[in-house]
Amino acid sequence: MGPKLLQKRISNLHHKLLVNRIRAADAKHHESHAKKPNDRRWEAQNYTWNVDDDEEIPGTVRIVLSAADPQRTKNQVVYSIPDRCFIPLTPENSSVELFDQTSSSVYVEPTAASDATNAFNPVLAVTDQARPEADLTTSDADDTVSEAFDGDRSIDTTFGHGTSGGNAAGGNNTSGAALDTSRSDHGPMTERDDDPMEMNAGVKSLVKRKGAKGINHFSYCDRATQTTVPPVRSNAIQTEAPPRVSFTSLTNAWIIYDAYHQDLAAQQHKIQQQALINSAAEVVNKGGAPSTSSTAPVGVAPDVSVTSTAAPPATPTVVFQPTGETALSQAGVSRLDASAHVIERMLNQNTYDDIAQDFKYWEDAADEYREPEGTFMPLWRFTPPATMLRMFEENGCMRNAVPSHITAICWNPHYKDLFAIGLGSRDNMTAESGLVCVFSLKSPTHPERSAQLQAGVSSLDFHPEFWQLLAVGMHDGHVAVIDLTVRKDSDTFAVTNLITYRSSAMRGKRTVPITQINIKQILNHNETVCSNRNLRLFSISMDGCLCLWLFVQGELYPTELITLPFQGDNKLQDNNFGTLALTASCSCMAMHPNNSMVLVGTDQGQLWPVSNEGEILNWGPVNAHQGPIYTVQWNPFHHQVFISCGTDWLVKIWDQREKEALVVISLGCCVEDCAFSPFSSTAFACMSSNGKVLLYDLNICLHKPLCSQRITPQRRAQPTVLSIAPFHPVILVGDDKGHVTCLKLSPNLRKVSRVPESSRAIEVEMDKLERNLQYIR
Amino acid sequence: MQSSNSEIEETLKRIQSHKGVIGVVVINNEGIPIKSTLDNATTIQYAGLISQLADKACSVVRELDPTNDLTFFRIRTKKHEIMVAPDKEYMLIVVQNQSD
Repeated sequence: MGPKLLQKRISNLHHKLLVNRIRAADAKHHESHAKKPNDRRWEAQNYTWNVDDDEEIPGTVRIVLSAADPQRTKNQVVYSIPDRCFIPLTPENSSVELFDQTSSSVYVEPTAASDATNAFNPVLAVTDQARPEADLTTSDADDTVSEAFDGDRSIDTTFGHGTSGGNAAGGNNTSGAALDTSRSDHGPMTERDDDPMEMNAGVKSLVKRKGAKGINHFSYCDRATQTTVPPVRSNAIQTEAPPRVSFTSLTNAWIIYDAYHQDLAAQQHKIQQQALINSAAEVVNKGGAPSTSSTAPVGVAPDVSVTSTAAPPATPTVVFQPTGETALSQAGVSRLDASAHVIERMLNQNTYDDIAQDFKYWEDAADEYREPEGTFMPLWRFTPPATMLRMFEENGCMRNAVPSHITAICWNPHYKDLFAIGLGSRDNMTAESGLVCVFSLKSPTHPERSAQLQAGVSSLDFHPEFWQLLAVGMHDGHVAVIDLTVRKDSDTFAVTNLITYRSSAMRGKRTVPITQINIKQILNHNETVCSNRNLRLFSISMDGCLCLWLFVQGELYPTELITLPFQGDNKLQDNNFGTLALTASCSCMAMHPNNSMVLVGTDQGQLWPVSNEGEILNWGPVNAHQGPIYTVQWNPFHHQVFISCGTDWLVKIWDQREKEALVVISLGCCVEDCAFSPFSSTAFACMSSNGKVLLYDLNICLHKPLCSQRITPQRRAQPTVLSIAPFHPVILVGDDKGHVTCLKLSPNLRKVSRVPESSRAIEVEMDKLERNLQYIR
Repeated sequence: MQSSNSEIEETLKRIQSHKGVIGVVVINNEGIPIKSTLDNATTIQYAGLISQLADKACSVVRELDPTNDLTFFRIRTKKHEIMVAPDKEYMLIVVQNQSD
């Protein structure tokens, strides 16, 4: 709009100049009468102006007005470095806006009817000014200027124009207007008024007079139709506000880990359920409808799933059922129990800390000065809980109090700190109740496991391979196998511990007390006779019978191997009870280390070597002692040497190849028990009934014990059982008051001979014993 | 179930009878004492303070290794030793005199 407006103004200026020039020319003309009117002709956009005082400015001054700026440089170029050439610079807009006015006036196309009024309306005249067609206006202006010149000279012409171009309806007005216009046009010339408004009005009137043409009403037809406006309806729906919960939580790696774990468990549970359903569906499909094809029929499957889903929920019982009192789940209670046991061990660790330190680390420094003698250091004392020794009820009948004689001690072959003790009676074999306690060195106050039995325990033995199985021989002729494993049902959390498999009177049991029991270790699995790996027990009883018990699926089946005949006082035999053959009364036995035979000691003082098949070997029987034999044991290193002790105050060491004992040691009172040391082949411990434990070593001194120490006070308690631990340097001594004392051997008592690189320990030990026995022979 | 309950009763009784044991407190997961051999005020004090400590100790263990879990901890003091077995359902607290 800017440049156009400017152009318009320039044209106005031209007009003004023109008017001035015309006036000047007229004056000149009147003065000189010399110049021709043709001189006043000029070309569009080139205005030649002869200034009236020619004398002052000589020559013709030609002033050219143009929209283009002559000062401006053209065809400017700039060197572009990236293109490496000159590129023309696009010229800026050179026009300068001098004046701009926005107005609210609207341009109205002049119609014939409104022409006359327009001419007098200054506002409309202004709008006329804003006509966009600049060149047209200028050309019009050129024309009108020439016309104006004519009009100036004769009013008639103007009038004639007005009547010819005007409308018939507004004829008077138009003519009047034209007259006025011409007058007013003339006015400025006479009055030399420079009012542009008036001038413009004059120009316009000229334009109208010349070329304004009305729009033909017949060739244009304006029609307006208005479609129905759809009514605006506002429609709004408000939903219920969603519930808002403010939630804050703390999360970290382990909460995320737990969440994932739970999710995984849930998924697995789902898969299992699905598998269960599927398997049930298959079963039903196979059994119920054999005619159906392998692809599962759609109609049948839902029924199946309904029936099968009903079954699984029955199996997993409700796990987290709070119990009334403690409000803990069953799982929680079982865990609490486990925690309580650990806490108990902690308490014991605190209480018996000093003893535990002694057990592990204390070495008697005095041993160096009194070599080869040593000492026993008492450590813990194990006592079965008093509550278990009282009378107890079993199967509705009261059982007598358990006699407090420790009759057997057996170390577990797997857990090095675990041992079992059996309580029964040594004197009164008719005791009606017994007790088995399994202690750990770590908790001296309370047994890890305990089982009350209906008869006194006479003997115990752990299975060497399945170390959780403990065989028990009892006074009433029964044999039992106790499983020490504590089983926890993961679903019901029911704890089943200490399953006891007892021999049954229906299948056969001994009618007399069993005195010793031994589990036979199955070394050769390809044995033809008993190729299966069933547990086999050997037992001896008071009636002189060696029995083999087969443990098959929780049942014990006895087989009598041999009944040892009575040998002894001939007078008894001669007195004879008719045809009734007397039998020996077995008191102890020892399984040979390579399981090839059993050595049985009797109350009559004989030793019977019996093979596995129940045949008496040719080197027996041996008249070993004068009275009942209490213990017989094979040497752990030398498999042909064994030790025996009995009531005749003697401890004897034998070689199975010799008829006579190699070593005979008299203790001066009953020898209750004896045992070879696991540390040296020549060392053995024996225990006299006056409460002394003696330890001998044939390699050092035959006639004097390395250590002789009273363990139990005389007359208060009598020791009954002795057991040397196979792994730890301790011995256990059981007495008839139900106590088991643990004693640590001082370093002198458990010297292990040096083993050269070239040979094995067992060979060295065998050589040592063999050498010592050679001297004695 | 009954045997299990009586067994745990027996075990707790045995723990109480141990040498130097001052008290046994079992609290449930809400920190409410279920079983206690201490007097009321001391029980509440132990339950409140130890459960806070157990939470902190548990978070330490699990922060170090999310697959790990706290099973026991014991606090040795000049006068006592406090043994704690935390679990997600219960907490067993045993206070024992120092033997020496």
